[in-house]
Amino acid sequence: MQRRDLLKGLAVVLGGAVSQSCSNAVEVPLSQRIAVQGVMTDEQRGAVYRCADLIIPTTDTPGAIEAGVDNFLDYVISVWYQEDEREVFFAGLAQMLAEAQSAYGQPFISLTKPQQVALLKAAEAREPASDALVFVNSGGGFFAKIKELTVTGYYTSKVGATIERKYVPMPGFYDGDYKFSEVGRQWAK
Amino acid sequence: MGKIDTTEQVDAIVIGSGITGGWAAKELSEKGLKVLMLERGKPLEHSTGYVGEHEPPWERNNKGMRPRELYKDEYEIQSTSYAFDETTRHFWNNDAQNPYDFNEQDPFHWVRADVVGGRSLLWARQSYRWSDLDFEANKQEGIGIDWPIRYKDLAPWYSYVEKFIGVSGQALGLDHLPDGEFQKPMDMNVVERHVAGAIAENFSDRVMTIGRTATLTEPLPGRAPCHYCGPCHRGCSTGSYFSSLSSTLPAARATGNFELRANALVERLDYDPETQRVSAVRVIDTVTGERSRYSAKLIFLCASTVGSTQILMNSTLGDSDRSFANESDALGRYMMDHTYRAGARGIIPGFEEYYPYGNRPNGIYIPRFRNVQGDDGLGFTRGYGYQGSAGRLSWDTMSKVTPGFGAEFKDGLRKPGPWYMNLGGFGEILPYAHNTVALHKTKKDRFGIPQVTFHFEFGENEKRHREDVVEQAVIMLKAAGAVRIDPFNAEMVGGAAIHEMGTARMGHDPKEAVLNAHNQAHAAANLFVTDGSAMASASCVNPSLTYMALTARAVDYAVSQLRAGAI
Repeated sequence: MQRRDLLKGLAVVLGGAVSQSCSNAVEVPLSQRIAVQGVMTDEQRGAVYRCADLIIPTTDTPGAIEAGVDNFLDYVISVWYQEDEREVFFAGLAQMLAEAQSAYGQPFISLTKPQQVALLKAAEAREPASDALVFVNSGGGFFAKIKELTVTGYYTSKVGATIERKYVPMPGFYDGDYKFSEVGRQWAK
Repeated sequence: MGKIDTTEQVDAIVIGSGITGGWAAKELSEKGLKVLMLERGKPLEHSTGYVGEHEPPWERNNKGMRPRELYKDEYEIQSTSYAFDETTRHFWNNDAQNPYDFNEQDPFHWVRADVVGGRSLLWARQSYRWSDLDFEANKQEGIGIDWPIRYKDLAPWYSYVEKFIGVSGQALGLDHLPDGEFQKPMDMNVVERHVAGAIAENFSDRVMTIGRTATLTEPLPGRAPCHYCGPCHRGCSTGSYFSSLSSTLPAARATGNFELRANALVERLDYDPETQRVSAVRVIDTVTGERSRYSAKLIFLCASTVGSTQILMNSTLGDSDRSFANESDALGRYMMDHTYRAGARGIIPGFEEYYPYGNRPNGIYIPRFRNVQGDDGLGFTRGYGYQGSAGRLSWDTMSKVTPGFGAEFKDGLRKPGPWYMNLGGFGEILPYAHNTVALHKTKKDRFGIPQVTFHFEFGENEKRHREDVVEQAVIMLKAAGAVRIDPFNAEMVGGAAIHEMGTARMGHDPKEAVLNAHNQAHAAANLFVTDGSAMASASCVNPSLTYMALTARAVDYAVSQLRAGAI
């Protein structure tokens, strides 16, 4: 029950404080977004959002934060995750943040992009590569988790479904010989 | 609505609004009988009740992340179904509110809806006829009891049902999987045709065809052809797949002879030993708790296999704990399902220029090819069929197997992954007396009705055919050039295929069977049970079409008997 109340509370906080507009969302002070319910410090949250934008950056289509993935990360990490998952996530995050200090003498969020990329690559290298062609939910360490959350949040966002992918809610027919060149991107379903 | 001390009289009562209850109501009301339908679930209206229909992914609560604690606390069983998520949860039973005795050491999954329309809203719509290979198997092998009917008895009713529900499919001319009244088939995609070609080339006994599904490819009155949006189980406001809500209930309403009462839980049937009739149906309003009683010339019990069996078991005689319908001791025994979640999948190289358009709510079918002409000497009897499909891996899988991150990673995910082909077997489970549903001795629900409890074991025959399911799937995928083949043979759980059946079986002899050849209770001439509980064996094909045909046939018989004064 406690967790479900928390979930409701968070929805209210997010819905109230964060504009639906993605560009506005990033302007809302971090501390207001999660209020008392959030489990991340400002430093952790800033680094997590930055990682999301490194994983899915803005290219010819919007990137993760522009697509609103920050809200999704807040929700999953603060509410949806169970304690064991949260521990793994924060342990890996702490290691990366500590490396930022030891390697560059500065907080992760203040580093240059190449420095941040190097640290995130180091985090990836610490974890085994997945070769399974199956969807394994919520496994892995910090890198697997932040990557999975960013990807999930992005491809299921409106940006991810309608701009990065192609969304046809009422296809009207089925064509099993349709050409990829006709669509050029993945379908959103 | 009457109180407990009054009895309201109608011509016919139908208990349950699912796939068979809907058919019973339609047929009875069209024959001029005044019908009252009692449904334990909540009211639900066609179209407007489908609140998750066409919901885009970004509007899904928390991007579809499953609220795990809620599911564990209140939907522990229901949430195991592929069709259960936040777009459909409002259709399902709340396992905390309406529990049964679930035992992790001896698990059985009772998957159930809790709305008008029942599981007809949520079913997978695959529709296959039985043949005499199925109806004669028990007798020939001395397993269970002989079916009191044969294919010729049901064939006209299959046709009758298929024309109304609309089944799209391809005629194949197979004796053991008879063709039906098909609408034009859906298409196999380019890779499915490739695999079908490889199977045809390499295996003279096998054919792969498009699934036969109760999803329209041509219009029917009040129902439009499929628009290929994909997730049928969220409900379909165009009525493009068959459900009670889209099809049989509107037909019943159109007669002016039909009344539906939702939130009406049937507790038990009262039985009069002198007249050998069901004298009343006892009902509890699930909202107010008020109890009432109805009687009718005909009672159609269509509450699903477990639901109907529970009602019959709770319909005890006098002060005894014996059901009036259980002279045979078959009530609650011989529970069957289909084996499920065994097979193989693999990557099909090539075809990368193709990427199907539209979300086809249907897959392929490979009809049974084992023990068809006689015993193949494989160490098991009867057989299995495969269902599956080919498609391209999407971002969720590809993101896991693509290392790195950043612009290049994102760009790489713009293209779908390779093609895969999946083959999963549905196999016949034999009727065993020890596979049971029973009333729990002490556990009761919130209305004081005994909860049900299950015992379900898989036999050697099931284990052996599953090994063959996996082996043959791998062999066929190899023949089609698949690579990275991944065989699977998940732990078996009774009820998991949601084809539970057989606990009030049909048979000639009242000493062996609960129902006769017309789904009429041996013990009560005015009681008919036409859902899955009536089955004397399971075949390996999806059962709902057969339940519907049995129901329409039973109504025809019941009304003719009623008019002849025999009931």
